[in-house]
Amino acid sequence: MTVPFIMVLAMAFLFACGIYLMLERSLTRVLLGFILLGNGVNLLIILTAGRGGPPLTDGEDLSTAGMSDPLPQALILTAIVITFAVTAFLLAMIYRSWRLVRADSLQDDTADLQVAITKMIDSEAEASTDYDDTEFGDEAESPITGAIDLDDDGTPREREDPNATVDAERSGPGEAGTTSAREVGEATTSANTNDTNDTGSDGTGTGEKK
Amino acid sequence: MIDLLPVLVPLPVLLPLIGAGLALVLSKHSRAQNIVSILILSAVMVISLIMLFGVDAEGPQVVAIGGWEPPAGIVLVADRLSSLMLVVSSLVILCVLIYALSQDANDDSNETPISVFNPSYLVLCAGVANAFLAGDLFNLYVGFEMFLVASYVLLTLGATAERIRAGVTYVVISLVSSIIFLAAIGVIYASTGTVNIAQLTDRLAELPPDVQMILHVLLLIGFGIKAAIFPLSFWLPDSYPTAPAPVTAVFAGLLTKVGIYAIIRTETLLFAESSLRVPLLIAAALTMVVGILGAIAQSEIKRIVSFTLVSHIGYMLFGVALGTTVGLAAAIYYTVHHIIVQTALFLAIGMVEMRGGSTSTRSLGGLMVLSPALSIIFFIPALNLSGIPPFSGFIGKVGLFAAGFSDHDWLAVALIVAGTVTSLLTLYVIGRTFNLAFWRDPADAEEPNEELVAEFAERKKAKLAGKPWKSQIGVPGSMFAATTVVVVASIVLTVFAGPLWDLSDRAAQNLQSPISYATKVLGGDDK
Repeated sequence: MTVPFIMVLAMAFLFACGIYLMLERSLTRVLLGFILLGNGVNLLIILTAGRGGPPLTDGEDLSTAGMSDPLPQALILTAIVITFAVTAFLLAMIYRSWRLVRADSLQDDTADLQVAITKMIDSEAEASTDYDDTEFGDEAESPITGAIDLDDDGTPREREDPNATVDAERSGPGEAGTTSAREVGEATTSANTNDTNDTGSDGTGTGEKK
Repeated sequence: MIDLLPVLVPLPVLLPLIGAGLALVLSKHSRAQNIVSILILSAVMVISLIMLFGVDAEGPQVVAIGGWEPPAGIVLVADRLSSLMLVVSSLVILCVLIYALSQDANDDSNETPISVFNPSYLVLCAGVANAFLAGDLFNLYVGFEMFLVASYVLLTLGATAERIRAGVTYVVISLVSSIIFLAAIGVIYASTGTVNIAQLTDRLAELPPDVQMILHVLLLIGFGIKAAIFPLSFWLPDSYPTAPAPVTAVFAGLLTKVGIYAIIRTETLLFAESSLRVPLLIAAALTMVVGILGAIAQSEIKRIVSFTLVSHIGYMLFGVALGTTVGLAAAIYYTVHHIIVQTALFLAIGMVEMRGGSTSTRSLGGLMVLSPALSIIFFIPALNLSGIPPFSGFIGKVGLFAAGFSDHDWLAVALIVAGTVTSLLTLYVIGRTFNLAFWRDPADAEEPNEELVAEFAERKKAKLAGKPWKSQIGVPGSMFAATTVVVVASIVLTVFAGPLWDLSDRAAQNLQSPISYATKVLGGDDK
C-alpha cells in the first residue's frame, strides 16, 4: 500500500492544528480544533485505501482489478455524518454557554473552588494575603476577567468604597481592567434573568434555584 | 429455541431505536410516550434474559446484518459476556426510567423537558446494546457514538449554566476519546485490512510487535477515557454530579462499564498475545487510590460517590489486567455488581436531594429519624460498595484478591494491598457521609437547612409527647419502588452469587479462547 506523501503531510498538519486549537480555553477555538481533528482522522481513514483508483464499478468493467477499496469510503461516510452532527451540537452548546455567561471560555467549577477554599480555612492558612489568581474569584489581588463572586460580598474594592463603581466609570484607562470585569459580571446577571424569562419553565434547574 | 435466538439478537438495538422514533412522534402526549418507553424497555429486558439463557446453553449467536456474510458484512455477536451485560444494563435502564418518569411527574420545576428525555434515553439504551453486541470495531465505534450523543443531550437537559459548564468538559473529552478510537480503527484497517473483530484476532498477532503496541495503546487510551481510568478520569467527577439524578445514575452505572467491556474485548480477543499487564496493573492501583483520596476531600454526596465510582473502576481493571481466567471471571462479576450498586446509590442520592433539599453533607442531617426507609435504601448499597461481608461487593473483591494471589507475583500482591486500602477508605467515606447526612442533628450542620431543623424539632416534640408523626415532604412511591428494585437486585447478586460466578467463569473461559470465537463468527454459521 502506498499513499501520496503530500496527503500524509496534510493529515499531520490537520492533526497538529487541531490539537493546538483544542488546548485553548476559548470554546470557539476548541470547536474549530475538533473540526480539524475530525477531518484529519477522516483523511487518515480514506488514506488507508491507498492510492485512489476507479470506483467499485463503472458499469462496464466488472473486474475488481485496480479498483479502489470501498470499505474506507463507507467508513468515512459514517464518520463524517457523526462528526457533523456532533459539531452542530457542540456549536449549539457553545452558543448557549455564551448566552448564559457572556464569555467564550470554559468556566471554573464553583464546587471545585469551594472545596479548595474549605481546605484552606480548615488548615487555618487563609491568613495569607497572597491570594492566587484563579482560586479566589474576585477576592484575588488581581482578579481575572469575569471572576466569580464566591462569597457574595462584592469585590474588596466595592466593600472599601461604596462609590467605587462611579469612580471607576469616570476614571481613565488605568482602571479599564476592573471596570470591564464588573461589566462582565453585570452582563452575566442580566443574561441569566433574561434567560429565565424567555425559556419559561424548562430553563431553571436545581443549580440556579439555589 | 435454536431458530428463535438469532432473531432475538438484533432486537435490543432495534426496539429502542423504533421506540425513540415513536416517542418523538408522540412528544405531545407524554403519557403515551411513557407507556411506549416502558413497554419497549421491558421487552428488551425479557429478550436479553432469553438470550442469556439461550446463549449459555447453545453457545454464541452470530447474526449477519442484512444478510451480508462476515467478514464483508456487519455482524452482531451475542456471547455469554455480552448477553450478561445486556441483561444487567436493561434492568438498570428500565428501573431508572421508571424513577425518572415518576420524579418528573412529581417535580413541578419541570427540570427535565419530557419530550426530549424519552427519545434520547431510548437512543442511549440502543447505543449501549449496540456496543455490547458489536462484532466489528467500527460498529463498536458507532455504538459508542450513539450512546455518547444521547448522553450529551441528557447531561445538558434544561441547559442551565451549571450543566452547560459541566457539559462542555464532558462533550469535549468524549469527542477526543472518540477521535482517538476512530484513528485507531483507521490505523488498524491500514495495517490488517479488516475491522472485523473475529478476523483481527489472528491478523493482529501477525503484525510486528511495535506496530501491535501502538495499536494496543491507542485503543486502550480511547477506551480508558470512557472507562475513567486514573490519568484519564479527571472529567468524570466534574461532569456527572450536575446532571439530573436519574441521568447520573444511568451514566455512572453503565457508561463507564461499556468502556470496561471494550477493554475486556481488547485485552482478550484483539491483543491476547501482546500483554500490557504491568502498565495496566499500575494504572489500576493508581485509579483505586487516587480516586478514593479524591472522595475524602469532597463534601457533596454526589461528588463523593462519583469519586468512588472512579476508584472502583480500578478493581475491574485489576481483574482484566491479570489476564487469567479467574481474574477475568472476577472482573466480570465485579462489573455486574458495580453497575447495580452504583445505580442504586445514585438513585438513593436523588431521593436524598428531594427530601433534604441538597446533597451537601455541610447542610444535611437527621434523615435517619425523618426518613428511615430512605436511609436503609441508601445504607445497603453503600455498605455493599465498600465490601462489607454478606454483600456482593465483598464476594467480588474476595474473588479478585484470590485471583491476584493465585498469580504468584509481587505486583499482584501490591494491587491486593491497594485494593484493601481503597476498600477501607471507601468504608470511611461512606461512614462519614452516613454520619453527617443521616445520623446527626440537622442543627449541628455547618450550614444548617432551616426546613430540616424545624422538621427535626417537630419530630422530637411529637416523640416526647408520644404522638404519631407523619412527614410533610414525601418521596413519590414509584421512585422509591424503582430504587428498591435495584437494591433488591444487588441483594439477589449476593444470594445467587454461586450461579452468577459460574456464569462469569464460563464467560471468561469463552474470552480466553479467541480462536473458538473467530471460528464461530467466520465459520459459515448461516443461520
